[in-house]
Parts: sequence; structure tokens; C-alpha cells
Amino acid sequence: MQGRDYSRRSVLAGIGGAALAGSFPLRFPRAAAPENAITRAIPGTEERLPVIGMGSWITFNVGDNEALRQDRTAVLQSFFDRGGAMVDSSPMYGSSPEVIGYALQRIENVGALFSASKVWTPLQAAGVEQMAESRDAWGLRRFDLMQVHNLLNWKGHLETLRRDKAEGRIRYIGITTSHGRRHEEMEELMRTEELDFVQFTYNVLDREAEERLLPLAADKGLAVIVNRPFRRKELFRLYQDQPLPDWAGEIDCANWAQFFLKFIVSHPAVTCTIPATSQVEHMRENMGALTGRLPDAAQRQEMARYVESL
Amino acid sequence: MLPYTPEVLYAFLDGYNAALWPAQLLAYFLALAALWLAWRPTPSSGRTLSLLLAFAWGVCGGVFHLQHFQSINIFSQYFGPVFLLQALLLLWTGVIRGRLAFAARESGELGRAGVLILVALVAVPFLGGLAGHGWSPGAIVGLAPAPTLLFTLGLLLLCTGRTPRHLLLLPLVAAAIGGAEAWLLRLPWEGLPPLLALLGLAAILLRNRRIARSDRT
Repeated sequence: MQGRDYSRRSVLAGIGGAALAGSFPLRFPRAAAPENAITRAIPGTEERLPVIGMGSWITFNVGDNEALRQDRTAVLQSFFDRGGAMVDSSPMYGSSPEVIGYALQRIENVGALFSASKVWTPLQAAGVEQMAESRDAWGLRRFDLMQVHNLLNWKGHLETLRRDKAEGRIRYIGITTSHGRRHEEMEELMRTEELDFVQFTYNVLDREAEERLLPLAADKGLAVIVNRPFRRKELFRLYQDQPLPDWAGEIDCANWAQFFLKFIVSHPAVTCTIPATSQVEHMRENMGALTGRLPDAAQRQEMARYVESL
Repeated sequence: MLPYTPEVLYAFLDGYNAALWPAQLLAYFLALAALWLAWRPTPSSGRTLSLLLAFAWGVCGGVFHLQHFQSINIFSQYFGPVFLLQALLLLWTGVIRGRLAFAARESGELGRAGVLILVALVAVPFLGGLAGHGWSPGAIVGLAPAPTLLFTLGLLLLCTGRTPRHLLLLPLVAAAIGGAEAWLLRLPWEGLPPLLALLGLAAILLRNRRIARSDRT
């Protein structure tokens, strides 16, 4: 992670410094993450990411409603206050990119931001415009990571992304899928294409990725972002009325959110996971998984067994 | 899975109504004018009423879906053209070809049509309140899809002669869209308009069949 280069719009909005805006890029100091925050290196670099990031599907798609935008600003503020860095979005998520941009302009400690977005259009040429719109929406001059959403026209977009990376418009490139779909195609691309990040679904119930994708990512030196860590709330619906196991304290899990998240980020091939929430209280719970002890391999197996036994 | 929550949907409707105010007053005035034209038909009232319906579907497609709702719902880019196409069909059939005429007082479907129209005008705007999201008016006839769909089907039940079948296909699609939204957002009250729309469509088809039989005899 590095300091972010903010666009003219956000600089003006943030500090009112018209004389400074556009003259040279501003670099904000990084927010102080908890000293004991669990981080993972992006393979092949010395850059480290906190293992808990933030997704924005549904949760940040609140349109123009000012009250809801302020609520989400508080959520993002809480994320950065607790040492978060990676924020992930997509043009597919409605107004989420604009709402993230709105929030970034209004909170102070965004220096740790690791911005991750996606390109999602069947046309390669339209992708260039879409990524420019995303930069405008976020108020950024460049994204840290740009991913091909759900492998849509991956061939064309990867060509664009490689050019953008070479010219400094993005720092890393990646591909995504979700819902456990198209794993075979993703596996093929992981083997054959030059990538930095891959994003797919993995959680305590959906563990298909353990068999091939996660070992392959480790083998190829790819950073892994895990989406749908809670199976879109379904894990809470299934288990929130059940007790945590007696030994949850041994891995510093005070609630189910931390239990689910620590299961994911304790896999050695995982770089970070991106739970989404619209509530500050839930953000606090999620970010609690950024510190404390992680389960070892035996405890991970026990976690999966426990959940399946309920 | 839809990309927004019920909370965001009703907040959107609040913002949409605020942005369009006082169009709601005009919408209700035009709706009442349409009912008057159906009740007291004149030689040109079929064309006028068709124009009003086409205008309402055009607003739902162009203003509601493509201009506003698309900001939170990526699928609106596909729904908008559905409504615009229905507007064109109403224009073609009712205004240009003059094939729609309405006579409410002579219709045997006044009761069913009345239910659809009353629900569209009075109940649909307040479904958000029943779902616990406040009683400020939500979807308004002529400005939002659900009440416009019911209002249109209510009037099509009052047609003289058979209702052209090509005017029923896209309302069926609109009902499916509304039903899917209610289902995915787990808003049972929002399932009422699509359910009534399906019943309205069935009533229109049955009425068409009855008229066809009586024509043969």
C-alpha cells in the first residue's frame, strides 16, 4: 500500500486547496493500523495488506439519499479506524462506486486505502471508458487493483489492463468470479495468464477452492481475495442462534463473524477477504478478526466440523 | 439477488417523488381525467385515453427506470425499454390506428376494473408503510411502474370489444419484474400489484374469449 494520489475533485473537496490541486499529487499519511493487525504480503512484493477488507455489493448502493450516504460514510470511517485498507467495488454495484467516492471525500484517515475495482462490460473499448468513470466516481487518479469482473471478456480486458499497468494507471491486475462458478476457467487463466490477484468465493461451508484454486494460487504466487465470506448473510441465518464452540476463545473469536472470517484468512494462501456491511456495529465485529490468534490447520478442520455438526 | 435493499428502495422512492414534485398532482389529475373519459366516452376519448396511458408508460420507462432507478438497479437499463415499447404499442394501437375505445358504464367488468384502479390509485402508494418503511407516498400512478400497470389493466378491462393481445405481453413482463422484486426483497405486500396484474390479465383474456364466442354466435 502506498499513499493515494487523489484527483482534483477530491482534493478540492477535502481541503479546499485550489492552488494545490492539480499541481502535484498529494500523499496522505497512512492511518495507523492496530500494531498487532494480521497482514499478508502481496506475493512477489513487500507490500502487505490487512487480511480483512471491505466489499460493497448491495451495502453501499444507496443512491442519492443523503442520510444513507452519511451512514455508509460512518461505516467506511470505522473500517479505516480499525486498520482496514482494501475496499472493493464494481460498476455492476449500482451507485456503490459513487457512494464510496462520497465517503472518501468526507473521512480523514483514508491514507491506507487499497482501492480495488472491476471492469464489467462485454466490449473492450467500453471497458476503457468504464474504468475512467470508476476513477471519477471514487475520486482517484488510479486504482491499486483492477479486476476483470466474472471473467467477462477477460481476453480483451486483460490486454487493456496490462497496458494500463505499464503506463501506471493501475498497480495490479486480477480476475474474479463468485458463487463458486466457473472455477475451471479461472484455474486455466491462473495457469496461463500473467496475473497479480484472483478473487473467488470461499467460506466455512463453500470449501471447493481448497482443492485446486487456493493451492494453485500459492504455487503461482498470486494474491487471493475471498468474496462471499458469509455467503451473503446466509451463514448468520443458519448459525446465529447456535452457540460458538467452547474453544472459540482460543482463536480470539468473540462472535460468529470473527469465527467465519478467521476460518478464511487463516488459510495460508488467502491474502484477504472482503465482507460487506451497512452497519458500523457489524464493521466493528468484522474488524475484530484483524487481530488476535488465528487457528492452525487442526483447528481449521475442527471449525469446519463444528459448523457442519450444527 | 437484487443490488439494493428494501430500505434503499423506499428511500429511492422518497427521493424520486421529491425530485418530481409536483408531478404527482398532475399524474392524479390525468388519472382522474382518464377515468372520466372512460365513464363518459366521446368519439375521440379512445385516442386521448390511449395517449395518456402511452405517456404514463413512457414516463415509467424513460424517467423512472432509465433516468432515476438505474442509479441503484443495473437491470433498469433493460426494464426501461420494456416500458417504452409498451408506450409505443399503445400509441400505435390506440392513437394512430384508433383501435381502443372505452365504455366503463356498459362494461361487465366494472367491478374487477374498479378494484385494479382503486388499488393503483389508493393502496399501492402506501405499500411501503405496510412493510414498515414509513407512510410517505411511494409509487404513484403514471410515475412508477406498479400502479401504472394496474391502472392500465383496469382500463383495458373496460375496452369495448376485445383488447388487442399484443398490448398484454409487456404488462405480463412488467408483472413478472415486479413479482421478482417482491420475492427477492422478501416484501410480501409488494407482491400484491403483480398478483393483481396477473389476475387482471387473466380477466382480460377470459373477457376476450367470451366476446369472441358471442361474435361467432
